[in-house]
Amino acid sequence: MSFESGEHSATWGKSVIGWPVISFSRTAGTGLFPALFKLWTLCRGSHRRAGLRPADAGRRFDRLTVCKRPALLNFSILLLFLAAPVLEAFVGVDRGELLFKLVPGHGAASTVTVTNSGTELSTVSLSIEDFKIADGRPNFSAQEHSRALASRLTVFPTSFELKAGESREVQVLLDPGDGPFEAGTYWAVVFVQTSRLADMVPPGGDRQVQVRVVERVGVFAFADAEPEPRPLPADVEITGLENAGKNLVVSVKNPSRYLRLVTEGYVLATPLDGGAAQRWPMQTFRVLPDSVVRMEIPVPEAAAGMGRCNVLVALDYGADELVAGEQEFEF
Amino acid sequence: MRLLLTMIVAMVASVVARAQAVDIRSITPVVNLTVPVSAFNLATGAASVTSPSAISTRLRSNRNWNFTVRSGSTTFAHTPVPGAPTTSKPVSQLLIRENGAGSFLPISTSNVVIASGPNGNNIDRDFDLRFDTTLDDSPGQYAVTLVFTLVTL
Repeated sequence: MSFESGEHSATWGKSVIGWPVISFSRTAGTGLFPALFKLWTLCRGSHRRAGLRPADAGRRFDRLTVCKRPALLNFSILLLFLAAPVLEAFVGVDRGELLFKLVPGHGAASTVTVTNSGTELSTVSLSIEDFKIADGRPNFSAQEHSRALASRLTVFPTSFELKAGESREVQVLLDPGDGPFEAGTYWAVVFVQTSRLADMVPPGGDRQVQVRVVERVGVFAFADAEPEPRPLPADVEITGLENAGKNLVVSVKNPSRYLRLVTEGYVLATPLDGGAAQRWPMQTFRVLPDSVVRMEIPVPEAAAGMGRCNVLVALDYGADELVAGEQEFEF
Repeated sequence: MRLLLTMIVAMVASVVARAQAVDIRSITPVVNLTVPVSAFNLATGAASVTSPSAISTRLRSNRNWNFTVRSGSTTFAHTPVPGAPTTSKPVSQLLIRENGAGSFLPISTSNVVIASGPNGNNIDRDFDLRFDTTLDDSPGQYAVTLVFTLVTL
């Protein structure tokens, strides 16, 4: 099934699990609004201007229209995603991931700012490890694989002390060597670890257990060999949507050999009895190569009592089309 | 003018948003458990001591997050009392779970996901510890280091 509405069009197919998947294209159309839309997307280097509004609140959408939102509001939404994710323990870091290009013979550098957000002196040590991907998540215990990046990365310095409130910039250097590299994303993780001195209890006559706790945060390093042109191909799929009570769980499949960053997404819950629809924003998240990730989306308290709803999830990862899926749930 | 204002708002909002961190504001640095003689089942010789909320954390996240734990070694470092033999006790006999939630997971040198969740401020997560032992384990101190890892998703 397909439709066109001005500069936007949609196609509706079935996912592998048999529930509807809708993809939205925003390329066609003429006139002032399409021109503004195109200008806007060019300015921000992405394609996420559309707000989706069900024109027919039936059991299934058989027609969808796309409405624009005021520019200021859209800009505000954009701002939420400008800030890099920040990780921090007692010693924290200012970003959750580093992105490189993996070009033979061309080194690259990036920085991470480490901050002691605690109230005590902390000794910080940094290390780099490879990891595998299991069930869409990093598995730090399994390390060897064909797209391992750790051996090509170094950090400087690798150890230092930070007083409470102090920050220090750490260099992360990529030396790709001569290659060659297979097209796709290579990855590793930089661990920033801290430990504090703790009073040890001397052994007594009983059986005693002493558990010393070390905390660390991980900064992912991703490097693309033969980076893809933009917009990205339409290969990401929503393969499932579940209502788990406090959360909606959306399963997102990335069949490609490249990392996919979902930079924006939302849930549109539309009561089937004709009540007011609610739009819930989603956090930025990553879908690792060749994997399926299950993302939890908190159901806001305001959703209580909405009754039977048609729930539409739309995600933007930089392709020319949004990827979307829908399902009916009771709230 | 409106565009300028919008850009100023954007910069301020960006700074504010950047200040929002994913962090562990507090985490218990060390946990001590004692297995009293009264804890042993005299018929089986086994004892199990549970410490609810032994490890407390406070997280903050502007993204969905994942929290894992692993041991630094496969066995406890055992310091026996004088005259007692050394016991090589697997760390899998130390178990962990999120406070009151589900069954205990044995500690190992592989990372085990013990908590995850959506973004938010002041996310408090406590973890229960359970230590299983028997009379065959020599008296003394069993020490282990647990590495907790926080990442964004």
